[in-house]
Amino acid sequence: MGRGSGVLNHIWTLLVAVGILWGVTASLIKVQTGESITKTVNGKEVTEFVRYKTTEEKVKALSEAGNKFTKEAFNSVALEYDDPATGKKRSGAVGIAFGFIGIMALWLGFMRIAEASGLIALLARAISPLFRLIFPSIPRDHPASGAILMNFAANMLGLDNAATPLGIKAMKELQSLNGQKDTASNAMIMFICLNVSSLVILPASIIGYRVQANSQRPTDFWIPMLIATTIGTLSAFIMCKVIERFTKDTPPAPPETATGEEAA
Amino acid sequence: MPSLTKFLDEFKLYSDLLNSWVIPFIFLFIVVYAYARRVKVYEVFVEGAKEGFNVAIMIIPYLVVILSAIAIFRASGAMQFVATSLGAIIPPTVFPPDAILLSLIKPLSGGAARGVMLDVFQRQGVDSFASFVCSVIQGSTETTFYVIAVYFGSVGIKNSRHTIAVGLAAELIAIIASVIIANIWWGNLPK
Repeated sequence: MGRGSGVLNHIWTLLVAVGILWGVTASLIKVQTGESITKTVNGKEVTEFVRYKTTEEKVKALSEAGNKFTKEAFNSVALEYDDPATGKKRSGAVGIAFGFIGIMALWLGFMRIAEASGLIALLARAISPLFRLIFPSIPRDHPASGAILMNFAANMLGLDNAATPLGIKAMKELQSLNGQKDTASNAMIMFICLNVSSLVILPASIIGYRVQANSQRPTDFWIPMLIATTIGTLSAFIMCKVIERFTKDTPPAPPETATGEEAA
Repeated sequence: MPSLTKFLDEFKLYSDLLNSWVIPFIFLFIVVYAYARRVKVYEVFVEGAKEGFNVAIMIIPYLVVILSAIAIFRASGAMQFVATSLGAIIPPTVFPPDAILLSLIKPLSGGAARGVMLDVFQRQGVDSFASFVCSVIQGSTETTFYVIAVYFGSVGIKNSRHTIAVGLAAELIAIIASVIIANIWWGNLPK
């Protein structure tokens, strides 16, 4: 997964190491200076300031803090746990994923029907008029057009798993038109930048997660999200077009190789 | 601007109506269209649903790795320190610290970003302002570095020219747009 995952290693280590060191230090300081503890007594929140006098009390408070810390870490990945702060049940990592099985199965079931009936291909045809404007360097009827359109259609329906192989196919077709094999062509950059700006129209997985989290309004974010996505995609398109005007595209491939057989 | 507020309220009213019916109508359309074209809807659905099971199980390791790290960071009080410090620069009522964390992680990893969003759903309540902001950002951004690495890697491109600059700039614009729209949309929610 290249460069992206590399940075994530640093962030992850930072979260874990800083978190634990911070937790230990904060507990040590609290035990020395005393801490304010908020409890719920008869439905009211009562805050009291506790000072630890004897060494025994301090050690006890410190180990309690350690236990609480450990428990939080394990709770976060559990199937289900009681949240002491609210008294409600919550899902950890495994619980969230389990709750998602049904929703995901339902969604992908419908999507498979849409694919089998040719609806996704139909959607691809519906967005094709915009194609000349976005990718002027792709010849008419070149196989690159079909792959790109199918990738866009899959992205719009939130079918990430289907979108990636179609995207790779599109890149191979675009590479067959590219005369400088180690450098990205304008069409490739436009294709990737549009992909990166999120083309989602139907954010099925987010709706699924919201349903699973017992949302009363699982789809309410849809229109605002569409507006934000459109702004992002339009700005990616405009930025690419402006840069295309001021930079030199890679040369087109010689005609005999520009037939798309490279993808086969 | 009373007329603008009135227009926004009305727009919200009708968009909520549209939002709440979009999924049922898509299901209806898909099924009726496929049935009319003599697709074996039942069998094909089962095939797709099998894949859904795999997807749900596949995300467990990604959720565990990020949710545990966030839990440790939060339980230590370090998260609160970061949030308070950030709150001095960016008001948490406008751009919640959880959403900032989501925005920083999203270009790097889709799985990690999903973990952050689900953590917010669990902690702040799924219908809270912070959760709406996170939902909008999650939908309007992509895992920029992953997409660039996979797509260019698949054809051996080494010089990506202006791809990363435009990709990240578009991501930033989408995040800013998300925050502004969310504040207009859900500005009256308790924070």
